[in-house]
Amino acid sequence: MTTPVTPYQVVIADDEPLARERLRQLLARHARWAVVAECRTGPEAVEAILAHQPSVVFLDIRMPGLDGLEVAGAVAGDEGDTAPAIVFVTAYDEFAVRAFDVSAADYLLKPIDRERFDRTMARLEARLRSGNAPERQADITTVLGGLGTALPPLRRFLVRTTRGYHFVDASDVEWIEAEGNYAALHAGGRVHLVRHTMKALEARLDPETFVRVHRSAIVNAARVVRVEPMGHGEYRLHLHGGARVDTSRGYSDRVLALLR
Amino acid sequence: MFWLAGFAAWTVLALLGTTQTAMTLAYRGQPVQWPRLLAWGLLDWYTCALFIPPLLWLVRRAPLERASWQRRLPLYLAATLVSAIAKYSLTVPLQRAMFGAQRSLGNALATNVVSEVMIFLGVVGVLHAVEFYRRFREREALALQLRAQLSESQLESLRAQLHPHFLFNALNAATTLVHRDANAADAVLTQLGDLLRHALRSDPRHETTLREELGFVDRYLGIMHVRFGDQLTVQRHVPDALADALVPTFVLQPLVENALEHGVSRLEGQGCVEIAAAHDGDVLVLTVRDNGPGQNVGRRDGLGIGLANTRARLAALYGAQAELRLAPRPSGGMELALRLPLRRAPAS
Repeated sequence: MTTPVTPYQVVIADDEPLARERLRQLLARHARWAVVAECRTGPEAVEAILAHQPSVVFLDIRMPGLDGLEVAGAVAGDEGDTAPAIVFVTAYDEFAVRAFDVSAADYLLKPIDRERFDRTMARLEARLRSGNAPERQADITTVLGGLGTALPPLRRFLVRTTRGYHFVDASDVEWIEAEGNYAALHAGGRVHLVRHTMKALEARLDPETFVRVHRSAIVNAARVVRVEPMGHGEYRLHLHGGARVDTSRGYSDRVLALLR
Repeated sequence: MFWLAGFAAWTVLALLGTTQTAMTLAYRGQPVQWPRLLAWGLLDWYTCALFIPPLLWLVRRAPLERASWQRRLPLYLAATLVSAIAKYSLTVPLQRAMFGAQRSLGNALATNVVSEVMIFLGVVGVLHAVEFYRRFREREALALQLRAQLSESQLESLRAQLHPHFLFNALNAATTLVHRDANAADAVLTQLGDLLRHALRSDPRHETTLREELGFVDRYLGIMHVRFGDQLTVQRHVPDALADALVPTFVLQPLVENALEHGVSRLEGQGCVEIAAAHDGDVLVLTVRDNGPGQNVGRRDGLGIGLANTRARLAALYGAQAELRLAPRPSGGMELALRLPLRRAPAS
């Protein structure tokens, strides 16, 4: 028997003190794990995850500030980064649980079953030892995409800049452009990259405001000042602030809906 | 279907009328020319039928009802008279052309106008019967729909008591406490039991006293306190004099839950919920205030369903006498105000 050199670090995020304590109680029986931070709100969780770079994060889905899924999306990180493994914790979010099952994400249901908890920890330990964490990263994007419209609309984006993380209100975003696995948010003359697919964004943004007009473009309907027909069901949208976005024929119905 | 049945009935009438004429002729010993007689009869009756649609239109627009029949009767007399005259202005030339009948319009009107008006008045009577039956069926369907809506909203409000999210989080809190503070775990589980018993009661009454409703809310808040500790403060302003006021069963808890779920739980700092009862003349005013993020920050979600149910239920119970209003507070957060007629439970 060898003693562990350094324990795996854990961050717990839940707005209920007793729910956090429950996770601590259950973790106490696992010698290789150490809780480095407990958080009550979404923004606190993001901060703690960035500060501690833990191996595993237990994320409650319903939290003030940013929900657990938004936190997961924000810290999913870039390719090559060591993003933490996420274990979602939920009391009753059927839609989320379905998405977790489909994408094989780790999740625990409250009240948390000890045996299931132990199995999850054993699986995480095995995964950490073999070092194949990256496969988990893709999961988060899949999970968020799979959740569809069941969640409340995304109100703000957490974006990373050289000076740390900050929020961009969805209403400030003029349009969104697909860039590979990322989406470029155009807001007030600046461009922010977030790790979201167009499909996931379309599902999570308020459909009254954000309209998909092209395979790789979503526009904020409130920012459209002119719709210029280009023929063949294609249009050029002139946005407040000067940006121009071309639409494609497949989305012409939705472009026309803008005019109503 | 309606028109087809009407056409068939009318044809039967035409045939019967023609048979009557044939019998009269036979009795008088005159020859009966069936084809001619039939054609004549059908022409007579079918031209008459042309005036049924405008009469039906009139019956739908201005039916003879208890309150209005005296005013409307002249209208119907005029309409049937005009129909009779119009009918003969149409029939007589046709009869002359088709059968070579030596008949003037004046003669036809003089001999037939009274009986024709009677026939049209009979038609008006039948159309009224049809129309009133149709309205009766519609009202019946509406009443059925209202009843279904009521039981649906009862069911929904019952589900709101047992909000699975609340239930599972409470159980999770209890599993934590079991390891640390057995008495506290005990308290959570008994409170949860009380809540479940209350919500699962097999004969949910429509109304209960404010006292009882507040007792239910207290047990609910007791569990919320255990879950959230000092993040949550609750203030209550309910005068004793209003304790026996009648309120819809389960009305308050969903409102409080709404304030907690959509107001306070979205808040990153301290949450405060204020529950107050007051009376404004003979109106009972219940208010639930929170200091949550208010309306601007995506409160649309979830808010809709719970409150829509409460609204539907209030409308079914009190009609226009009750109202539920959600308004932002100047100091931040939201205020839910429920106004309903103030009635007290009979002393038991």
